[in-house]
Amino acid sequence: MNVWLIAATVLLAGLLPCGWVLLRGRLREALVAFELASTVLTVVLVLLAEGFHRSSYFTVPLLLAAMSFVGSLVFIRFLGDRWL
Amino acid sequence: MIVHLLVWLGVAVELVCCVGLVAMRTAIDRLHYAGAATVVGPVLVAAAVCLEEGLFTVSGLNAIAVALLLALLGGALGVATARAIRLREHGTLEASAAERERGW
Repeated sequence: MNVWLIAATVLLAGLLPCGWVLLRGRLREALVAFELASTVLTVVLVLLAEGFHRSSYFTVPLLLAAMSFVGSLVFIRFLGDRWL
Repeated sequence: MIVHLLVWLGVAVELVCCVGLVAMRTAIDRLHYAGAATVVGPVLVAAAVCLEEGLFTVSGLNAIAVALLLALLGGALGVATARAIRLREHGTLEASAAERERGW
């Protein structure tokens, strides 16, 4: 275990508050929690990629950052148009 | 040593934002913490990766790309989310009479 892997493990605890709001909050608050959870997960994946010393692993957080943006936009569209 | 400091600072910022998400009451207040998490934490972690591996390495450039993506797209996402929340709560983006009186 190096500092990157320990930091990634500690940061995973940040998903608990996000999960709490996702499950207990209203729809608009859950959307904000979902956005924060994807950011935290992206940073965790960056830390893991560096911790394992595999530069190719950096593709995963790069893709997640782009794809979570698209996913959140879909939810925002549904929320704004009151389809949800 | 500086690398460790940056890593833990980045992790601490992300965790504070997660706690802030739970502590705040309204969705807009919570959105501020989500917005801060897309900029501050990833930049600190990317800086740590660049210091460890070097700026012009695959890891360093990828970490910068992730931080840039999160910062730019996160800002756009924050604005779009705030508009959707406003539409959901008030039905319009226009300021109400009470808000105009308060100078908003």
